[in-house]
Amino acid sequence: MRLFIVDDCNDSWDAKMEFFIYGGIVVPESEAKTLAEGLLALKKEAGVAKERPVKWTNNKWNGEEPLDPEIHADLKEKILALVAASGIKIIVCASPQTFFHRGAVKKSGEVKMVIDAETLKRTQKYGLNDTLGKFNTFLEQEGELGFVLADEFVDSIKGEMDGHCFTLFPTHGQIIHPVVQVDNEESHLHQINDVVLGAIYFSLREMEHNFLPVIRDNFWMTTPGEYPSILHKGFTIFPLMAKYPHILKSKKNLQDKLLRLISAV
Amino acid sequence: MHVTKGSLNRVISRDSYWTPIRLKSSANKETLLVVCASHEYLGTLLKTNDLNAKVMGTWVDSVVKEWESKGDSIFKQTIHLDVKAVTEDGYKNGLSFLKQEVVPNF
Repeated sequence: MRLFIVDDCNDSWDAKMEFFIYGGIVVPESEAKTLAEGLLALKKEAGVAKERPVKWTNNKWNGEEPLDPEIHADLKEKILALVAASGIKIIVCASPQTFFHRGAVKKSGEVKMVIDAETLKRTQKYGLNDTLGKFNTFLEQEGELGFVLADEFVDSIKGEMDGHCFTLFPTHGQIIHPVVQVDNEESHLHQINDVVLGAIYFSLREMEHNFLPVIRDNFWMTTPGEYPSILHKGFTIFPLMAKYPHILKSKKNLQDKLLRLISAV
Repeated sequence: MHVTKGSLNRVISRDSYWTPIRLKSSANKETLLVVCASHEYLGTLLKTNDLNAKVMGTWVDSVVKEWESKGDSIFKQTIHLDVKAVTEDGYKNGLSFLKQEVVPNF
């Protein structure tokens, strides 16, 4: 059994990076407890309460101030090392931010990028179509069954998204239930997933620190013997067939950057 | 103006390049220019992703010319940090990189 923890990353409008990341980590059932214990051990070593969620962003918690930035940065690096040493596989996709946001003209005439039910459904469907499809193929390849734990869909689109998940997997394939929605993303595995998605997102930003070499081998890639590639496997960039030149250019730039960062040692 | 170009450094962990350039005026005043550029910036400017030594050498020469054209006013400061990026975020990250990881070593 494999657990696929799915989440979105970078959901607010961000002109810094033109892409939105969706997906997450595939955890072997046999390693779930070891990973949870590993995370708890790292928190203990850093003097962080075991109940305190450690995510990519250093937030306040339970009335307490954010963690010391150095402790937080060190914890994140150690979490990535924990992932690297595990059997975790990463399956994510990136789609243009303009899939998720549309320009709305305010009374003042100013254009503001907003998320509405339509853009939300469109983005979540793209993400689910790709990552769940990839996960199912991965499970077939491994001869395994899987369970998907996704962030709960918002009420306005919940019914339609649930229906979409069943349409996507009418016979469920290797996935036991299309998507199990969770409203609390603070389990140990969710925390690890958040750090992984944050590391991917930050690495792809211009002149940010590159964390990808640490987790490079965790991306699901082509089977051994082939030219190793994570494109269209552990990392897919949408749209597959770009219609507009500027999107095609942005997609190529992102793809080139990803390959540069991944190959960096 | 007398120019001494330092070695060009590729920073894989930041997907960027940086180089130090010493500039000396005819009145023997000196300033150090530390310039860094993201791969995105260089790829866009030079219209290639093949950032080989020849291409990068030409780019460094263009940066030197840009700073020479500013005249002797540049010697009022002992050090200048020049970040070449395509986004504000990249500029901020590049500046932070120079301040925290490069300048302390000079």
